[in-house]
Amino acid sequence: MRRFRAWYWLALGAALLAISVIAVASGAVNVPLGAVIDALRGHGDPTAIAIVRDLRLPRVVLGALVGAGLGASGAALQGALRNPLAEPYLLGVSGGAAVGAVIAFAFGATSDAVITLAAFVGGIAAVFIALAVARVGGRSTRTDMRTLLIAGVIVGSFANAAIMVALANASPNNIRGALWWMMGSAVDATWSRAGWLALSLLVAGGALVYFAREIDVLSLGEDAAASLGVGVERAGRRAFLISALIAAATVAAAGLIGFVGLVVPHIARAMGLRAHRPLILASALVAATLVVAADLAARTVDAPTELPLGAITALLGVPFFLIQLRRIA
Amino acid sequence: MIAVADLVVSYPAASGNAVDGVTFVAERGRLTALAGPNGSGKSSIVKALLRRADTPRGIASLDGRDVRTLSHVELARSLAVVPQREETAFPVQVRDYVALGRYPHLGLWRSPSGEDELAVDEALQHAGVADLALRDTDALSGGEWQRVRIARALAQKAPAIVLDEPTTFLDVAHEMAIFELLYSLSRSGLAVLLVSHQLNLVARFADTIILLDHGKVAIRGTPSEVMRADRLEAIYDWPVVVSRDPAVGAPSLVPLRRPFQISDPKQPHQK
Repeated sequence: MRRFRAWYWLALGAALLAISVIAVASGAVNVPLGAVIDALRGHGDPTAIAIVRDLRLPRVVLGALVGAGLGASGAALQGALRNPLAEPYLLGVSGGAAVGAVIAFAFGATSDAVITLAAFVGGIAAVFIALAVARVGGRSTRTDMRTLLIAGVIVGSFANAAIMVALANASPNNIRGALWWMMGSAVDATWSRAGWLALSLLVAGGALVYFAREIDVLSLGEDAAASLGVGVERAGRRAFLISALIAAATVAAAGLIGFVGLVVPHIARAMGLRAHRPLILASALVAATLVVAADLAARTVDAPTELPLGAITALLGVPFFLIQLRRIA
Repeated sequence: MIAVADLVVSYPAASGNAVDGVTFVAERGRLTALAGPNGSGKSSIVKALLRRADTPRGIASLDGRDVRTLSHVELARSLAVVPQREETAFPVQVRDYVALGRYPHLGLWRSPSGEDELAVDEALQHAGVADLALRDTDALSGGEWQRVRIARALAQKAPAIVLDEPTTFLDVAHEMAIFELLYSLSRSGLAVLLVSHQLNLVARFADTIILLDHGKVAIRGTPSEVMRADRLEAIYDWPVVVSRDPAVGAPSLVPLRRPFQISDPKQPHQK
């Protein structure tokens, strides 16, 4: 296994690059590869330049970043919670972010920045509520990771109920916007959105990579981790919070894109990765590739109708997960 | 040296104390056994050493330092623990697993140094699992897994090591092999504290036995001092005889069969 590492990272990077180039080139107007490269450098047909630089490239970059965030977050959470079914959305993040966004829609917000911010705040709020609930359940100062998981699920269900209430009072137009958002989409990609997401990923993702070794130890179980010099409660909360932060940022940027954070870490493990530092990095790369591919499918398969990206990733993810499940069992 | 003085451990949900004023020491170079019936407080003492239990009274210390004053890393450098249960959610390669024992020694970037690699190799050798280094942890037998876990603890290079029931589910040969390994570790200068309910084995290997009952020390001493039928009978609430094993000369506990009766064998505790 160890000997394959170098070419293996190259292969993952090459796959992402290849799918990205294809995604930039294809669409309602197909731009030949040479023209894509020219357009990137600012030469050639102005229409092609506009399509490549202002429409497709930000979308591909945003898709890749969303995927990378979900993959990294999922890999870290599964390790820290010692649960192969943990995923970024399980912990109330998605529900909370959706509540934030839907409330913004329901109040007639149209500004992109407002909705994004509302979603982010909602997601983070849900995580803190889940942490508080877990503390109550734990009956002491210690945060039990299992209680945390249950608390996240409960907060998520509560959020769903809140969404229903908010939608019941919203205008049809706002409902469509909210639904589209809840199904996930990279259609509204802008450079500023991609930039913000890149920045938060750089900080939070970097922190995850740094704490990856701690997650290795955490994944041994609480007593073993404590005996190896890890402050179990604090380390667990830290991994949980950073992962949630990343998830909330991706949800704010592109809505809910299911299954990526759950399935991709399993793909990375199937490739033979075990330690969390390479696992998180590889999950980010694979998930980025997957989301760019899914987004390409979302806008080309049924063109000119655009399909919801979240539905595509789920359609791809479910069969894969079933195959994995069979292999495990 | 592991020392526990007048230690009390309590759990929020429970009415009584799980450990109720226990005092003992486990010195370097000796194999000390913490024995007793199920629920007598053995594992709670291990939790207290790891600061994972509430200790309203008393002190658990390592080489004279209260564990509550140590940082997480200092604690891990002073004491290695093989917990009773360990649920690894995802399989890991054995060598990488043992390398996690080096976690408290890693630098700022948490990357292993040459010294760390060397310690891992030594630990694999010492625990007799060097040939398993490239296997995944889910492809190990019960006996191999226990040895690998001990190797991880050895890689920690702490002067004291605690093992909580390391031979549960193991057959005779594997059980003996683990006990021999622990004995050799104690003779190499480690303070070895073995938590076990297997009195007969403990009596053959331990220098000192501390027998707990209901959270208190019931008897302590050398195996011959502790293995006395009258007291063991009271503690285990079961008729026993203690014989001397003819082959090895160690005291050996033989639980007797009770005369057949229809009523529940778990009679109220008679004291």
